[in-house]
Amino acid sequence: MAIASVIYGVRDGEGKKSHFEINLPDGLTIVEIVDFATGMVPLVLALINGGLVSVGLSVNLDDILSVGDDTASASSDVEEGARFQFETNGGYATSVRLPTFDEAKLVSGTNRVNQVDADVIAFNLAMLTGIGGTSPCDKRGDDITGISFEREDFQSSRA
Amino acid sequence: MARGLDAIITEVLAQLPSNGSKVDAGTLVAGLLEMNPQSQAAQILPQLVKGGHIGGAVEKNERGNYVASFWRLVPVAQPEVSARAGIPNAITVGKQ
Repeated sequence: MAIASVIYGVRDGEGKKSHFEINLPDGLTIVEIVDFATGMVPLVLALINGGLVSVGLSVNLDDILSVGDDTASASSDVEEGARFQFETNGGYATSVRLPTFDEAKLVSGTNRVNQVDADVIAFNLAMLTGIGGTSPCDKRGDDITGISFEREDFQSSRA
Repeated sequence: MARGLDAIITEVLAQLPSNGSKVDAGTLVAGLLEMNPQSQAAQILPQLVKGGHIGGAVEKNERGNYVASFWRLVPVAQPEVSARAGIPNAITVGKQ
């Protein structure tokens, strides 16, 4: 597995939050990373006055990209995207915004994503039913069960 | 006006092979739109899969690309239920 970062969230007595992260080398399994993250909790608590309020994991998976995957069309723009909003089993909304969404996959003359496009269908099917038995959910862990809307979405870039 | 779910499922099933083979999303959508240019069936294919109405999955094709494929679900045989006793006839009770 690629390089991973364990991210710990800290909250102080006034409710303000901060975080720190510890990097781990590649070659570790998720179980080994969780073991390390767990073992670090009491060691950190012995050193800080605040409280640990979250532990997250960020795994670098650049290795899964193939040669050419980073090629961008000259007309692509991260400020132009499409938002795919889904509904979950519990009736909650959750969304994914794809920056540089291909305008050719919008319904002509509208801001709606073309839901009869084979590539759009494949993406939606993966979001609803998963790939190889692994299916997405929202931040609560609630299963994604339906599509609410999918349309063009503009957003300022950070740079 | 929106059609009922039953009508949409019927439309999709009419385009799916019944011999257990799969059909890719592009072929299925083309067939649905040819059958009915106003078809809503193509738009809700992923939701029909999620609802258990048709089979579907994102899988690698022979060229190594991930594509959506769909297929007709094989109906699961239901045991006959005795109207009088409410006991499934298919269940064999041990010898007395």
